[in-house]
Amino acid sequence: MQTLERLSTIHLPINSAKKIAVVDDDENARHITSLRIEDMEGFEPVLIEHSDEYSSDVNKLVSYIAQKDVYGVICDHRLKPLAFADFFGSRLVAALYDSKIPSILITQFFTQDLNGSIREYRDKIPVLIERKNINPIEIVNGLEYCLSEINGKFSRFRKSYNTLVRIDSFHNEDGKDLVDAIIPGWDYETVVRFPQSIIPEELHEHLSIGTRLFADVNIGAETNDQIYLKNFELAPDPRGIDINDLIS
Amino acid sequence: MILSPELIILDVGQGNCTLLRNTEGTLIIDCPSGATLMETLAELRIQEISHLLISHADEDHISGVSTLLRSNVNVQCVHLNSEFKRKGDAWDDLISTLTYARTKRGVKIFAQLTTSTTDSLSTGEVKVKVLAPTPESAAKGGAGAEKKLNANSMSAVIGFYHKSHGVAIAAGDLDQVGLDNLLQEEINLKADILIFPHHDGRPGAGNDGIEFTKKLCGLVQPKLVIFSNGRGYYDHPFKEIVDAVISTVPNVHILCTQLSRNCSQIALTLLPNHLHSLPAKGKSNNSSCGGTVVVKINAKDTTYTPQANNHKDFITTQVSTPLCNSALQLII
Repeated sequence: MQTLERLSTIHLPINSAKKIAVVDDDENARHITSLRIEDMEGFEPVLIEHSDEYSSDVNKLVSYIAQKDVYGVICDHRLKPLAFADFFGSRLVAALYDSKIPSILITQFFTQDLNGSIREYRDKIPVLIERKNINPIEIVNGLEYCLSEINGKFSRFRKSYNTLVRIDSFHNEDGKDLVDAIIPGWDYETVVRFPQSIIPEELHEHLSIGTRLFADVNIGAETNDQIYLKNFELAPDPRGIDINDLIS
Repeated sequence: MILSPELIILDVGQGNCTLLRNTEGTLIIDCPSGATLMETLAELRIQEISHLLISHADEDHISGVSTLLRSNVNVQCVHLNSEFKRKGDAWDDLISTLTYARTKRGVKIFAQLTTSTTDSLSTGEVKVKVLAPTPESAAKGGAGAEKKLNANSMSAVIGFYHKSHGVAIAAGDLDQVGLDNLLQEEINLKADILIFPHHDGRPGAGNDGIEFTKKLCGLVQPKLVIFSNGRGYYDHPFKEIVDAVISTVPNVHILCTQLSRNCSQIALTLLPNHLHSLPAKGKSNNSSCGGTVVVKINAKDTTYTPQANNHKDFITTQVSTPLCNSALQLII
Protein backbone atom coordinates (compact mmCIF):
# COMPACT_ATOMS: atom_id res chain seq x y z
CA MET A 1 0.00 0.00 0.00
CA GLN A 2 1.01 3.58 -0.43
CA THR A 3 3.08 4.92 2.42
CA LEU A 4 2.16 8.50 2.97
CA GLU A 5 4.50 10.91 4.60
CA ARG A 6 2.32 12.10 7.42
CA LEU A 7 1.30 15.69 7.30
CA SER A 8 1.39 17.37 10.64
CA THR A 9 -1.98 19.02 10.28
CA ILE A 10 -5.01 18.61 8.12
CA HIS A 11 -5.62 21.93 6.41
CA LEU A 12 -9.29 22.57 6.07
CA PRO A 13 -10.71 25.46 4.07
CA ILE A 14 -12.21 28.28 6.07
CA ASN A 15 -14.89 29.60 3.76
CA SER A 16 -16.04 27.10 1.17
CA ALA A 17 -16.02 23.32 1.10
CA LYS A 18 -13.60 21.56 -1.19
CA LYS A 19 -15.28 19.23 -3.63
CA ILE A 20 -14.11 15.65 -3.97
CA ALA A 21 -15.45 13.71 -6.93
CA VAL A 22 -16.35 10.06 -6.37
CA VAL A 23 -16.03 7.69 -9.32
CA ASP A 24 -17.31 4.15 -8.75
CA ASP A 25 -19.34 1.75 -10.85
CA ASP A 26 -21.08 0.42 -7.74
CA GLU A 27 -23.82 2.83 -6.66
CA ASN A 28 -23.79 1.57 -3.09
CA ALA A 29 -20.01 1.91 -2.80
CA ARG A 30 -20.25 5.38 -4.32
CA HIS A 31 -22.76 6.31 -1.66
CA ILE A 32 -20.62 4.95 1.20
CA THR A 33 -17.58 6.89 0.01
CA SER A 34 -19.63 10.06 -0.30
CA LEU A 35 -20.86 9.64 3.28
CA ARG A 36 -17.27 9.47 4.47
CA ILE A 37 -16.51 12.71 2.65
CA GLU A 38 -19.62 14.37 4.12
CA ASP A 39 -18.26 13.53 7.56
CA MET A 40 -15.08 15.46 6.77
CA GLU A 41 -15.39 19.07 7.79
CA GLY A 42 -14.63 21.39 4.91
CA PHE A 43 -15.22 18.84 2.14
CA GLU A 44 -18.23 17.84 0.11
CA PRO A 45 -18.72 14.89 -2.26
CA VAL A 46 -19.56 15.18 -5.92
CA LEU A 47 -21.00 11.96 -7.28
CA ILE A 48 -20.03 11.16 -10.85
CA GLU A 49 -22.85 9.19 -12.41
CA HIS A 50 -22.67 6.88 -15.41
CA SER A 51 -23.11 8.52 -18.79
CA ASP A 52 -22.75 7.21 -22.32
CA GLU A 53 -21.12 10.56 -23.07
CA TYR A 54 -17.88 9.53 -21.42
CA SER A 55 -18.13 5.83 -20.58
CA SER A 56 -15.79 4.88 -23.40
CA ASP A 57 -13.66 8.01 -23.58
CA VAL A 58 -11.38 8.68 -20.63
CA ASN A 59 -10.52 12.18 -21.82
CA LYS A 60 -14.18 13.17 -21.97
CA LEU A 61 -14.62 11.90 -18.44
CA VAL A 62 -11.62 13.93 -17.28
CA SER A 63 -13.11 17.03 -18.93
CA TYR A 64 -16.45 16.36 -17.27
CA ILE A 65 -14.82 16.03 -13.85
CA ALA A 66 -12.70 19.12 -14.40
CA GLN A 67 -15.86 21.13 -15.11
CA LYS A 68 -17.06 20.28 -11.62
CA ASP A 69 -14.24 22.38 -10.20
CA VAL A 70 -13.16 19.61 -7.83
CA TYR A 71 -10.24 19.68 -5.42
CA GLY A 72 -9.61 15.98 -5.93
CA VAL A 73 -11.01 12.64 -7.00
CA ILE A 74 -11.48 9.26 -5.35
CA CYS A 75 -11.67 6.63 -8.03
CA ASP A 76 -12.48 2.93 -7.89
CA HIS A 77 -10.22 0.75 -10.02
CA ARG A 78 -12.69 -1.69 -11.55
CA LEU A 79 -15.21 0.44 -13.41
CA LYS A 80 -16.21 -2.20 -15.95
CA PRO A 81 -18.27 -4.78 -14.00
CA LEU A 82 -21.34 -2.55 -13.65
CA ALA A 83 -20.70 -0.89 -17.00
CA PHE A 84 -19.67 2.51 -15.68
CA ALA A 85 -16.79 2.70 -18.16
CA ASP A 86 -14.92 0.39 -20.48
CA PHE A 87 -11.56 1.34 -18.99
CA PHE A 88 -9.96 0.83 -15.60
CA GLY A 89 -9.86 3.46 -12.89
CA SER A 90 -6.06 3.40 -13.09
CA ARG A 91 -6.27 4.84 -16.58
CA LEU A 92 -8.62 7.57 -15.40
CA VAL A 93 -6.39 8.47 -12.44
CA ALA A 94 -3.39 8.69 -14.79
CA ALA A 95 -5.33 10.98 -17.12
CA LEU A 96 -6.41 13.13 -14.17
CA TYR A 97 -2.76 13.30 -13.09
CA ASP A 98 -1.86 14.62 -16.54
CA SER A 99 -4.59 17.22 -16.08
CA LYS A 100 -3.14 18.15 -12.68
CA ILE A 101 -6.18 16.95 -10.74
CA PRO A 102 -5.05 15.04 -7.63
CA SER A 103 -6.65 11.62 -7.32
CA ILE A 104 -6.64 8.54 -5.14
CA LEU A 105 -7.10 5.09 -6.63
CA ILE A 106 -8.96 2.64 -4.41
CA THR A 107 -9.51 -1.07 -4.93
CA GLN A 108 -10.56 -4.21 -3.18
CA PHE A 109 -8.77 -6.25 -5.87
CA PHE A 110 -5.30 -5.16 -4.88
CA THR A 111 -3.55 -8.51 -5.30
CA GLN A 112 -5.37 -9.43 -8.48
CA ASP A 113 -4.90 -6.15 -10.34
CA LEU A 114 -1.63 -4.69 -9.03
CA ASN A 115 0.83 -6.20 -11.48
CA GLY A 116 -1.30 -5.71 -14.58
CA SER A 117 -3.79 -2.91 -14.93
CA ILE A 118 -2.53 -0.88 -11.95
CA ARG A 119 1.25 -1.19 -12.56
CA GLU A 120 0.62 -0.10 -16.13
CA TYR A 121 -0.14 3.42 -14.90
CA ARG A 122 1.61 3.36 -11.52
CA ASP A 123 3.93 6.24 -12.44
CA LYS A 124 0.87 8.48 -12.46
CA ILE A 125 -0.83 6.95 -9.43
CA PRO A 126 0.90 8.44 -6.40
CA VAL A 127 -1.71 7.14 -3.98
CA LEU A 128 -3.18 3.64 -4.03
CA ILE A 129 -5.33 2.58 -1.09
CA GLU A 130 -7.21 -0.61 -0.35
CA ARG A 131 -10.89 0.17 -0.09
CA LYS A 132 -11.08 -1.11 3.49
CA ASN A 133 -8.45 1.44 4.54
CA ILE A 134 -10.25 4.49 3.22
CA ASN A 135 -10.78 7.05 5.97
CA PRO A 136 -10.78 10.86 6.25
CA ILE A 137 -7.09 11.13 7.16
CA GLU A 138 -6.05 8.89 4.27
CA ILE A 139 -8.18 10.93 1.89
CA VAL A 140 -6.87 14.33 2.99
CA ASN A 141 -3.24 13.22 3.24
CA GLY A 142 -3.49 11.27 0.00
CA LEU A 143 -4.82 14.17 -2.01
CA GLU A 144 -2.20 16.54 -0.57
CA TYR A 145 0.52 13.99 -1.33
CA CYS A 146 -0.70 13.72 -4.90
CA LEU A 147 -1.01 17.49 -5.29
CA SER A 148 2.53 17.92 -4.05
CA GLU A 149 3.80 15.52 -6.71
CA ILE A 150 1.76 17.16 -9.44
CA ASN A 151 3.48 20.40 -8.45
CA GLY A 152 6.86 18.74 -8.95
CA LYS A 153 7.74 17.76 -5.41
CA PHE A 154 8.29 14.01 -5.39
CA SER A 155 8.71 12.10 -2.16
CA ARG A 156 11.76 9.86 -1.80
CA PHE A 157 9.48 6.88 -2.40
CA ARG A 158 8.28 8.22 -5.73
CA LYS A 159 11.30 9.93 -7.28
CA SER A 160 12.61 7.96 -10.25
CA TYR A 161 16.19 7.21 -11.27
CA ASN A 162 17.34 5.54 -14.43
CA THR A 163 18.65 2.09 -13.59
CA LEU A 164 19.14 -1.43 -14.88
CA VAL A 165 16.27 -3.91 -15.20
CA ARG A 166 16.99 -7.61 -15.80
CA ILE A 167 14.24 -9.80 -17.27
CA ASP A 168 13.73 -12.93 -15.23
CA SER A 169 10.73 -14.62 -16.89
CA PHE A 170 7.52 -14.14 -18.85
CA HIS A 171 3.94 -14.97 -17.89
CA ASN A 172 0.44 -14.67 -19.22
CA GLU A 173 -2.47 -13.90 -16.95
CA ASP A 174 -5.98 -13.58 -18.35
CA GLY A 175 -4.56 -12.97 -21.81
CA LYS A 176 -2.22 -10.21 -20.63
CA ASP A 177 1.53 -10.64 -21.18
CA LEU A 178 3.46 -9.94 -18.01
CA VAL A 179 7.18 -9.67 -17.32
CA ASP A 180 8.98 -10.64 -14.13
CA ALA A 181 12.14 -8.63 -13.63
CA ILE A 182 14.81 -7.87 -11.09
CA ILE A 183 15.67 -4.24 -10.49
CA PRO A 184 19.03 -4.50 -8.67
CA GLY A 185 19.14 -0.78 -7.97
CA TRP A 186 15.96 -1.13 -5.93
CA ASP A 187 16.19 -4.64 -4.42
CA TYR A 188 18.28 -7.39 -5.95
CA GLU A 189 16.32 -10.10 -4.14
CA THR A 190 12.77 -9.23 -5.18
CA VAL A 191 10.98 -9.83 -8.46
CA VAL A 192 8.74 -7.10 -9.81
CA ARG A 193 5.94 -8.07 -12.20
CA PHE A 194 4.62 -5.63 -14.79
CA PRO A 195 2.77 -5.64 -18.14
CA GLN A 196 4.97 -6.16 -21.16
CA SER A 197 2.93 -3.44 -22.85
CA ILE A 198 4.77 -0.71 -20.90
CA ILE A 199 7.93 -1.63 -22.79
CA PRO A 200 7.94 0.08 -26.21
CA GLU A 201 6.79 -2.29 -28.93
CA GLU A 202 9.95 -1.85 -31.01
CA LEU A 203 11.93 -3.48 -28.18
CA HIS A 204 9.73 -6.56 -27.86
CA GLU A 205 11.66 -8.59 -30.44
CA HIS A 206 14.79 -8.18 -28.27
CA LEU A 207 13.18 -9.40 -25.08
CA SER A 208 14.19 -12.76 -23.63
CA ILE A 209 15.15 -14.14 -20.25
CA GLY A 210 18.33 -12.34 -19.20
CA THR A 211 17.77 -9.28 -21.38
CA ARG A 212 18.98 -6.12 -19.67
CA LEU A 213 17.10 -2.86 -20.06
CA PHE A 214 17.49 0.58 -18.60
CA ALA A 215 14.38 2.28 -17.24
CA ASP A 216 13.25 5.02 -14.90
CA VAL A 217 12.30 3.39 -11.59
CA ASN A 218 11.44 4.83 -8.19
CA ILE A 219 14.20 2.94 -6.40
CA GLY A 220 13.43 4.67 -3.09
CA ALA A 221 10.15 2.71 -2.90
CA GLU A 222 9.68 0.78 0.31
CA THR A 223 7.43 -1.93 -1.06
CA ASN A 224 6.91 -3.82 -4.31
CA ASP A 225 3.47 -2.34 -4.93
CA GLN A 226 4.91 1.19 -5.04
CA ILE A 227 7.29 0.38 -7.89
CA TYR A 228 6.73 1.91 -11.31
CA LEU A 229 8.83 1.65 -14.45
CA LYS A 230 8.89 3.86 -17.54
CA ASN A 231 11.11 5.06 -20.40
CA PHE A 232 12.68 1.73 -21.28
CA GLU A 233 15.66 1.28 -23.55
CA LEU A 234 17.89 -1.68 -24.29
CA ALA A 235 21.07 -2.08 -22.23
CA PRO A 236 24.16 -3.78 -23.64
CA ASP A 237 24.02 -7.57 -23.65
CA PRO A 238 26.74 -8.60 -21.18
CA ARG A 239 26.86 -12.27 -22.03
CA GLY A 240 30.29 -13.33 -23.19
CA ILE A 241 31.96 -10.01 -22.40
CA ASP A 242 35.04 -10.10 -20.18
CA ILE A 243 35.94 -7.12 -18.05
CA ASN A 244 39.28 -7.01 -19.82
CA ASP A 245 37.38 -6.23 -23.03
CA LEU A 246 36.37 -2.96 -21.41
CA ILE A 247 39.77 -1.68 -20.41
CA SER A 248 40.05 1.89 -21.56
CA MET B 1 37.16 21.90 -4.23
CA ILE B 2 36.56 21.75 -0.50
CA LEU B 3 38.96 22.92 2.19
CA SER B 4 38.22 20.33 4.84
CA PRO B 5 38.02 16.73 3.62
CA GLU B 6 35.20 14.46 4.78
CA LEU B 7 34.58 10.76 4.79
CA ILE B 8 30.92 9.79 4.67
CA ILE B 9 29.76 6.28 5.51
CA LEU B 10 26.18 6.06 4.33
CA ASP B 11 23.37 4.21 6.04
CA VAL B 12 22.27 2.18 3.02
CA GLY B 13 20.73 -0.72 4.91
CA GLN B 14 22.35 -4.04 4.03
CA GLY B 15 25.42 -3.12 1.98
CA ASN B 16 28.29 -0.67 1.90
CA CYS B 17 28.81 2.78 0.47
CA THR B 18 31.59 5.15 1.45
CA LEU B 19 32.16 8.59 0.02
CA LEU B 20 35.40 10.57 0.30
CA ARG B 21 35.06 14.29 -0.32
CA ASN B 22 38.71 15.05 -0.79
CA THR B 23 40.19 18.49 -1.35
CA GLU B 24 40.41 18.07 -5.12
CA GLY B 25 37.87 15.41 -5.99
CA THR B 26 35.36 12.87 -4.80
CA LEU B 27 35.77 9.12 -4.56
CA ILE B 28 33.14 6.46 -3.90
CA ILE B 29 33.61 2.92 -2.67
CA ASP B 30 30.75 0.60 -3.62
CA CYS B 31 27.19 1.36 -4.76
CA PRO B 32 24.44 -0.77 -3.17
CA SER B 33 20.70 -0.72 -3.89
CA GLY B 34 18.47 2.17 -2.97
CA ALA B 35 18.35 5.90 -3.45
CA THR B 36 20.50 6.99 -0.50
CA LEU B 37 23.70 7.59 -2.48
CA MET B 38 21.93 9.55 -5.20
CA GLU B 39 20.04 11.60 -2.61
CA THR B 40 23.31 12.36 -0.84
CA LEU B 41 25.09 13.41 -4.03
CA ALA B 42 22.15 15.68 -4.85
CA GLU B 43 22.10 17.20 -1.38
CA LEU B 44 25.86 17.85 -1.45
CA ARG B 45 25.60 19.05 -5.06
CA ILE B 46 28.29 16.65 -6.15
CA GLN B 47 28.19 16.33 -9.93
CA GLU B 48 31.55 14.72 -10.57
CA ILE B 49 33.14 11.57 -9.19
CA SER B 50 36.84 11.12 -9.87
CA HIS B 51 36.96 7.44 -8.99
CA LEU B 52 34.42 4.73 -8.28
CA LEU B 53 36.05 1.76 -6.55
CA ILE B 54 34.20 -1.56 -6.49
CA SER B 55 35.54 -3.59 -3.58
CA HIS B 56 34.09 -6.82 -4.97
CA ALA B 57 31.06 -7.90 -6.94
CA ASP B 58 28.60 -9.04 -4.27
CA GLU B 59 25.12 -7.64 -4.85
CA ASP B 60 25.06 -5.57 -1.69
CA HIS B 61 28.11 -3.67 -2.94
CA ILE B 62 27.31 -3.22 -6.64
CA SER B 63 23.55 -3.25 -7.21
CA GLY B 64 23.38 0.52 -7.48
CA VAL B 65 26.24 0.98 -9.93
CA SER B 66 23.86 1.29 -12.88
CA THR B 67 21.88 4.01 -11.07
CA LEU B 68 25.03 6.08 -10.58
CA LEU B 69 26.45 5.52 -14.06
CA ARG B 70 23.11 6.30 -15.74
CA SER B 71 22.65 9.52 -13.77
CA ASN B 72 23.75 13.05 -14.57
CA VAL B 73 26.71 12.64 -12.23
CA ASN B 74 29.92 12.50 -14.24
CA VAL B 75 31.97 9.49 -13.17
CA GLN B 76 35.48 9.59 -14.61
CA CYS B 77 37.03 6.24 -13.66
CA VAL B 78 35.81 2.88 -12.39
CA HIS B 79 38.23 0.43 -10.77
CA LEU B 80 37.43 -3.21 -10.02
CA ASN B 81 38.90 -6.66 -10.07
CA SER B 82 37.68 -9.25 -12.52
CA GLU B 83 35.23 -11.83 -11.26
CA PHE B 84 34.61 -13.18 -14.73
CA LYS B 85 35.05 -16.79 -13.66
CA ARG B 86 32.62 -16.39 -10.83
CA LYS B 87 29.80 -15.64 -13.29
CA GLY B 88 26.30 -14.87 -12.15
CA ASP B 89 23.57 -12.34 -12.86
CA ALA B 90 25.00 -9.60 -10.65
CA TRP B 91 28.31 -9.70 -12.46
CA ASP B 92 26.58 -9.64 -15.85
CA ASP B 93 24.46 -6.68 -14.69
CA LEU B 94 27.67 -4.87 -13.84
CA ILE B 95 29.29 -5.70 -17.19
CA SER B 96 26.22 -4.45 -19.03
CA THR B 97 26.36 -1.15 -17.19
CA LEU B 98 30.12 -0.76 -17.56
CA THR B 99 29.86 -1.47 -21.29
CA TYR B 100 27.31 1.32 -21.57
CA ALA B 101 29.41 3.66 -19.41
CA ARG B 102 32.57 3.13 -21.43
CA THR B 103 31.03 3.29 -24.89
CA LYS B 104 28.43 6.01 -24.35
CA ARG B 105 29.79 8.13 -21.51
CA GLY B 106 33.54 7.76 -21.97
CA VAL B 107 34.04 6.39 -18.46
CA LYS B 108 37.49 4.86 -18.05
CA ILE B 109 37.33 1.27 -16.82
CA PHE B 110 40.31 -0.18 -15.00
CA ALA B 111 40.04 -3.94 -14.56
CA GLN B 112 42.26 -3.99 -11.54
CA LEU B 113 41.87 -2.63 -8.04
CA THR B 114 44.99 -3.74 -6.22
CA THR B 115 47.87 -2.31 -4.26
CA SER B 116 49.29 -1.16 -7.59
CA THR B 117 46.28 1.08 -8.13
CA THR B 118 47.10 3.42 -5.23
CA ASP B 119 49.12 5.94 -7.21
CA SER B 120 46.28 6.57 -9.64
CA LEU B 121 43.74 7.51 -6.97
CA SER B 122 45.02 10.94 -6.07
CA THR B 123 42.18 13.35 -5.30
CA GLY B 124 43.75 15.74 -2.82
CA GLU B 125 45.14 15.92 0.69
CA VAL B 126 43.73 12.61 1.85
CA LYS B 127 45.79 9.77 0.47
CA VAL B 128 43.80 6.76 -0.64
CA LYS B 129 45.73 3.52 -0.47
CA VAL B 130 44.61 0.15 -1.76
CA LEU B 131 45.91 -2.22 0.92
CA ALA B 132 44.63 -5.42 -0.65
CA PRO B 133 44.53 -7.47 -2.78
CA THR B 134 47.88 -7.67 -4.48
CA PRO B 135 48.23 -7.55 -8.26
CA GLU B 136 49.48 -11.15 -8.17
CA SER B 137 46.13 -12.28 -6.75
CA ALA B 138 44.30 -10.38 -9.47
CA ALA B 139 46.60 -11.80 -12.12
CA LYS B 140 45.60 -15.31 -11.14
CA GLY B 141 42.18 -14.52 -12.58
CA GLY B 142 40.53 -12.99 -9.53
CA ALA B 143 37.66 -14.37 -7.53
CA GLY B 144 36.64 -17.83 -8.62
CA ALA B 145 39.91 -18.53 -10.39
CA GLU B 146 41.11 -20.68 -7.50
CA LYS B 147 39.08 -22.56 -4.93
CA LYS B 148 40.65 -20.55 -2.14
CA LEU B 149 40.02 -17.19 -3.74
CA ASN B 150 36.38 -16.17 -3.43
CA ALA B 151 34.96 -12.69 -3.80
CA ASN B 152 35.53 -11.89 -0.13
CA SER B 153 39.14 -13.07 -0.22
CA MET B 154 39.68 -10.73 -3.15
CA SER B 155 37.75 -7.88 -1.57
CA ALA B 156 39.61 -4.61 -1.87
CA VAL B 157 40.67 -3.02 1.40
CA ILE B 158 41.06 0.73 1.24
CA GLY B 159 42.96 2.93 3.70
CA PHE B 160 42.51 6.68 4.10
CA TYR B 161 45.50 8.69 5.39
CA HIS B 162 45.85 12.39 6.14
CA LYS B 163 49.26 13.85 6.84
CA SER B 164 50.55 10.32 7.44
CA HIS B 165 47.85 9.66 10.02
CA GLY B 166 45.62 6.61 9.57
CA VAL B 167 42.06 7.92 9.44
CA ALA B 168 40.01 4.94 8.34
CA ILE B 169 40.09 1.46 6.87
CA ALA B 170 37.24 0.36 4.61
CA ALA B 171 37.55 -3.41 4.69
CA GLY B 172 34.89 -4.37 2.12
CA ASP B 173 33.97 -8.00 2.81
CA LEU B 174 37.49 -9.09 3.71
CA ASP B 175 37.72 -12.66 5.04
CA GLN B 176 40.39 -14.73 6.74
CA VAL B 177 42.17 -15.63 3.49
CA GLY B 178 42.18 -11.99 2.45
CA LEU B 179 43.47 -10.92 5.86
CA ASP B 180 46.25 -13.52 5.75
CA ASN B 181 47.25 -12.29 2.31
CA LEU B 182 47.14 -8.72 3.56
CA LEU B 183 49.39 -9.50 6.50
CA GLN B 184 52.05 -10.93 4.21
CA GLU B 185 52.55 -7.38 2.96
CA GLU B 186 53.56 -6.11 6.42
CA ILE B 187 51.33 -3.09 6.21
CA ASN B 188 50.63 -0.84 9.19
CA LEU B 189 46.85 -0.96 9.49
CA LYS B 190 46.43 1.41 12.44
CA ALA B 191 43.56 3.83 11.91
CA ASP B 192 40.98 5.78 13.90
CA ILE B 193 38.02 4.14 12.19
CA LEU B 194 37.38 0.61 10.96
CA ILE B 195 34.48 0.03 8.62
CA PHE B 196 34.08 -3.57 9.61
CA PRO B 197 34.03 -6.23 6.89
CA HIS B 198 30.99 -8.27 6.03
CA HIS B 199 28.59 -5.97 7.86
CA ASP B 200 29.46 -7.62 11.18
CA GLY B 201 28.55 -11.10 10.00
CA ARG B 202 30.92 -14.02 10.17
CA PRO B 203 33.76 -13.76 7.65
CA GLY B 204 32.83 -16.74 5.52
CA ALA B 205 32.22 -20.44 6.07
CA GLY B 206 35.03 -22.24 7.86
CA ASN B 207 36.49 -19.01 9.25
CA ASP B 208 36.76 -18.41 12.97
CA GLY B 209 34.92 -15.12 13.21
CA ILE B 210 36.08 -14.37 16.72
CA GLU B 211 39.75 -14.87 15.96
CA PHE B 212 39.41 -12.98 12.70
CA THR B 213 37.80 -10.07 14.51
CA LYS B 214 40.37 -9.99 17.29
CA LYS B 215 43.20 -10.10 14.81
CA LEU B 216 41.79 -7.34 12.62
CA CYS B 217 40.86 -5.06 15.51
CA GLY B 218 44.24 -5.67 17.10
CA LEU B 219 45.94 -4.51 13.95
CA VAL B 220 43.77 -1.47 13.33
CA GLN B 221 43.28 -0.39 16.99
CA PRO B 222 40.22 1.68 16.00
CA LYS B 223 38.46 4.24 18.18
CA LEU B 224 35.30 3.78 16.12
CA VAL B 225 34.06 0.56 14.51
CA ILE B 226 31.24 0.96 12.00
CA PHE B 227 28.99 -1.92 11.03
CA SER B 228 27.11 -1.10 7.85
CA ASN B 229 24.08 -3.29 8.42
CA GLY B 230 20.42 -3.46 7.47
CA ARG B 231 17.82 -4.01 10.17
CA GLY B 232 16.34 -7.45 9.65
CA TYR B 233 19.02 -8.70 7.25
CA TYR B 234 20.86 -11.86 8.28
CA ASP B 235 20.71 -10.93 11.98
CA HIS B 236 23.74 -8.69 11.65
CA PRO B 237 25.59 -7.97 13.83
CA PHE B 238 26.42 -11.25 15.52
CA LYS B 239 26.94 -11.06 19.26
CA GLU B 240 30.22 -12.98 19.27
CA ILE B 241 31.68 -10.57 16.71
CA VAL B 242 30.67 -7.51 18.74
CA ASP B 243 32.02 -9.13 21.89
CA ALA B 244 35.31 -9.89 20.13
CA VAL B 245 35.63 -6.25 19.07
CA ILE B 246 35.03 -5.04 22.62
CA SER B 247 37.42 -7.55 24.16
CA THR B 248 40.16 -6.41 21.79
CA VAL B 249 39.62 -2.65 21.93
CA PRO B 250 37.61 -1.99 25.13
CA ASN B 251 37.36 1.79 24.69
CA VAL B 252 35.92 1.52 21.22
CA HIS B 253 32.75 3.24 20.04
CA ILE B 254 30.65 0.72 18.12
CA LEU B 255 28.22 2.18 15.65
CA CYS B 256 25.80 0.16 13.55
CA THR B 257 24.24 2.18 10.77
CA GLN B 258 20.87 0.52 11.47
CA LEU B 259 19.31 -0.76 14.66
CA SER B 260 19.80 -4.51 14.75
CA ARG B 261 16.93 -6.72 15.83
CA ASN B 262 19.47 -8.35 18.12
CA CYS B 263 19.55 -5.05 20.02
CA SER B 264 15.86 -4.20 19.86
CA GLN B 265 13.06 -6.36 18.53
CA ILE B 266 10.75 -3.38 18.76
CA ALA B 267 11.10 -0.77 16.05
CA LEU B 268 11.51 2.86 16.99
CA THR B 269 8.46 5.04 16.74
CA LEU B 270 10.30 8.32 16.32
CA LEU B 271 13.32 9.47 14.38
CA PRO B 272 16.23 9.86 16.82
CA ASN B 273 17.67 13.37 17.03
CA HIS B 274 21.33 12.36 17.17
CA LEU B 275 21.43 11.45 13.47
CA HIS B 276 23.34 13.50 10.91
CA SER B 277 21.15 15.56 8.60
CA LEU B 278 22.39 13.79 5.44
CA PRO B 279 20.17 11.07 3.91
CA ALA B 280 20.09 7.68 5.60
CA LYS B 281 18.02 4.77 4.41
CA GLY B 282 16.83 4.02 7.92
CA LYS B 283 15.30 7.47 8.32
CA SER B 284 12.26 6.54 6.25
CA ASN B 285 11.17 3.77 8.62
CA ASN B 286 12.95 4.78 11.83
CA SER B 287 15.47 1.94 11.58
CA SER B 288 18.69 3.95 11.84
CA CYS B 289 20.87 3.48 14.92
CA GLY B 290 24.00 5.47 14.10
CA GLY B 291 22.67 6.25 10.62
CA THR B 292 24.92 7.97 8.15
CA VAL B 293 28.31 8.85 9.66
CA VAL B 294 30.19 11.98 8.60
CA VAL B 295 33.88 12.10 9.49
CA LYS B 296 35.77 15.38 9.50
CA ILE B 297 39.35 14.58 8.54
CA ASN B 298 42.12 16.65 10.06
CA ALA B 299 45.27 14.60 10.59
CA LYS B 300 45.21 13.26 14.16
CA ASP B 301 42.07 15.21 15.04
CA THR B 302 39.44 12.94 13.54
CA THR B 303 35.91 13.92 14.58
CA TYR B 304 32.59 12.54 13.47
CA THR B 305 28.82 12.80 13.68
CA PRO B 306 26.88 11.32 15.37
CA GLN B 307 29.14 11.90 18.33
CA ALA B 308 29.78 9.00 20.68
CA ASN B 309 28.08 10.55 23.70
CA ASN B 310 24.93 11.45 21.75
CA HIS B 311 24.79 7.97 20.28
CA LYS B 312 25.27 6.51 23.73
CA ASP B 313 22.40 8.60 25.13
CA PHE B 314 20.13 7.31 22.40
CA ILE B 315 21.09 3.68 22.98
CA THR B 316 20.83 3.80 26.74
CA THR B 317 17.38 5.38 26.64
CA GLN B 318 15.77 3.69 23.65
CA VAL B 319 17.47 0.36 22.93
CA SER B 320 16.45 -2.54 25.15
CA THR B 321 19.29 -5.04 24.68
CA PRO B 322 22.23 -3.29 23.00
CA LEU B 323 25.02 -5.66 22.01
CA CYS B 324 27.50 -2.84 22.46
CA ASN B 325 26.37 -2.25 26.06
CA SER B 326 29.68 -3.04 27.76
CA ALA B 327 31.58 -0.69 25.45
CA LEU B 328 29.01 2.04 26.03
CA GLN B 329 29.91 2.24 29.70
CA LEU B 330 33.36 3.53 28.80
CA ILE B 331 32.09 6.34 26.59
CA ILE B 332 32.07 9.62 28.47
